[in-house]
Amino acid sequence: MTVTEGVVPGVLVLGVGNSLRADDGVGQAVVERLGGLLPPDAAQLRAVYQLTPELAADLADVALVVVVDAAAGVPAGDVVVSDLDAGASAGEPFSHSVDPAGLASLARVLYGASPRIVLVGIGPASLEPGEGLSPIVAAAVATAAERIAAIVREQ
Amino acid sequence: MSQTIVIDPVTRIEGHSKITIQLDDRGEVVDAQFHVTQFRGFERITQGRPVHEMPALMARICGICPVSHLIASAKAVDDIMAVEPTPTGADLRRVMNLGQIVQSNALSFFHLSSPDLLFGFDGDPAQRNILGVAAANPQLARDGIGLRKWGQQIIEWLGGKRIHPEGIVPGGVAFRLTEEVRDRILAGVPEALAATERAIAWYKSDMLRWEEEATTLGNFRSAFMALVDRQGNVDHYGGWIKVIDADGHALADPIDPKHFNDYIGEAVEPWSYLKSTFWKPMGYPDGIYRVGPLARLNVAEKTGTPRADEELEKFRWRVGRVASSSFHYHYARLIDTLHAIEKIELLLRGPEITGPHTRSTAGINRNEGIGVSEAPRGTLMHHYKVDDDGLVEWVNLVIATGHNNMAMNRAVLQVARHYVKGDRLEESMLNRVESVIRCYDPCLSCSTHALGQMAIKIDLLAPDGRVLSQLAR
Repeated sequence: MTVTEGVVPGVLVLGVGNSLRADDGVGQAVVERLGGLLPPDAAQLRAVYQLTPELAADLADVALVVVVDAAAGVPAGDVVVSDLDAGASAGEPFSHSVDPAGLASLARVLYGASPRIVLVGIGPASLEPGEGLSPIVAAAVATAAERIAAIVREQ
Repeated sequence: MSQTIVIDPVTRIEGHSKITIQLDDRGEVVDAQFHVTQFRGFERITQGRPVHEMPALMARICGICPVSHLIASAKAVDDIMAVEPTPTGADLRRVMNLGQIVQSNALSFFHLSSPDLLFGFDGDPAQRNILGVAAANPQLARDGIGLRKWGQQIIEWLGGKRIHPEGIVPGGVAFRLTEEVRDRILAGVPEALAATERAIAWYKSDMLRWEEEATTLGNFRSAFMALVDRQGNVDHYGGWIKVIDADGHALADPIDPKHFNDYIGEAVEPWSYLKSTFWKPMGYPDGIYRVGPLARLNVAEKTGTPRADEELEKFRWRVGRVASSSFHYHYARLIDTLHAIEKIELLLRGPEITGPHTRSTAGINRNEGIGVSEAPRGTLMHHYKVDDDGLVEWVNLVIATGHNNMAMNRAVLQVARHYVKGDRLEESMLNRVESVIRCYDPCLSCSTHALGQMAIKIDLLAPDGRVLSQLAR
């Protein structure tokens, strides 16, 4: 599901979610939008269903990782940006997925990599089965993409 | 007073299930059942669809082994079209299938089962995960991650996506392999081989620790089933169905997969959505057999590739010509992976692999078709019936986990009898009961299960439903 291929740049953007669960697909939608905002060599853009341990190897190649995902508990359509706390403890991993802190831990322990990790959360209105974003979350896609683009340009 | 222990859900497997253990008045285990509690209904919801859509629809059954369903489905439609894929198309299907074997086997061994082997079945549950493995044995974790990533990349480079890929179509494949992608895959072969051989060496050096588990985790006599090629060697894509008994004797001449219905029956139990398949000549439930990596090694003469055959010889020296313990699925899975990597290299070095003829075309020429291949977990069968316009009228799927259903139930019962005592509920006991299920790496259609953290809960119930004791984590 790599959107951009070729030379690996110093920035990796991971759009996380399932586009068949309504607003859970917002992370993937933001990555798609970013493809039109950033030059091809500015960042590696990837849409993934979940954060898997295999992504730890990719973190070893970059200085900045942006993880964009639907964020339960955030008001629908709001965009929340924060750096992953370096001291954040990893939750117990699921059978084949990890949380951002777990991914950072794997990258550090296995590959000696400690990239800056920025979390971009977008409040969902619906996580029910179905294609397409709700209007309020669809409107937030551009906002989130522009904020990520700004972070990438500052890198 | 008889009692029931329920393990719900079972963790570190692909999908949702629970285990019930029935105790008698003296607290001794009298029965055990492995329940699959999720329902999918793909056989019904695909009725009325144009049959050429089936491979893409069937790939959606599972997020771990979509390629298996793509291939079995495409082969069933090949049969309906009465068409043979082009040699290049068939080989590209094989490469994609083997890429999936590598990534799925890696997930099973390194991510799901190695924590038990590394920390022990009595180890701290908080450690028994991939993060714990990374901290304790970084090389093992890196090897698991690297193998899974390489297998997924093969699927992505050929099928466009790592999960629910496309590209495998009736008649062959819908893409042409470029030399650049071929070389990119080949560049990863040496490290994939090295990683697998490191894991095999580690496993062999450690396996004596698990002598008791090898004796008690699903160690029983049964038949085994797998696909083999003309030489009787492992074939993950085609060939003939071969079934042997517990002593290695063939139960029938090699079976044309199109006639599997003559030999394989399906039973339904009221306590599970998972069907139980059985060897018809022996009836239900006596016709128990196992499939998957252990069955592939037991059934085949050889793997057919040099490094894997060398390890197979050592495997048989250690565990016998026909290994009976389900615990040896782990060891077999690593050798299966080694063979898959070697086979990928052989196929990619073929002179026609980048050729232009990747797909045969035809229309609806039959009203019925069967496709059979080896999924990571064992033999997979798709059987379709269509009308004259090619609209699907009837579908039956016989999946690897269904073949293993009776074996898993028997294994759970054996483990429970050995480790479960009615007056003591201990974490290590629960983990061993779960771990025997993980040996089979059952796939219970996992594409919908990634919400939230699985917990494990065990209830000790009186016959009237009262909770006598409870253990949870």
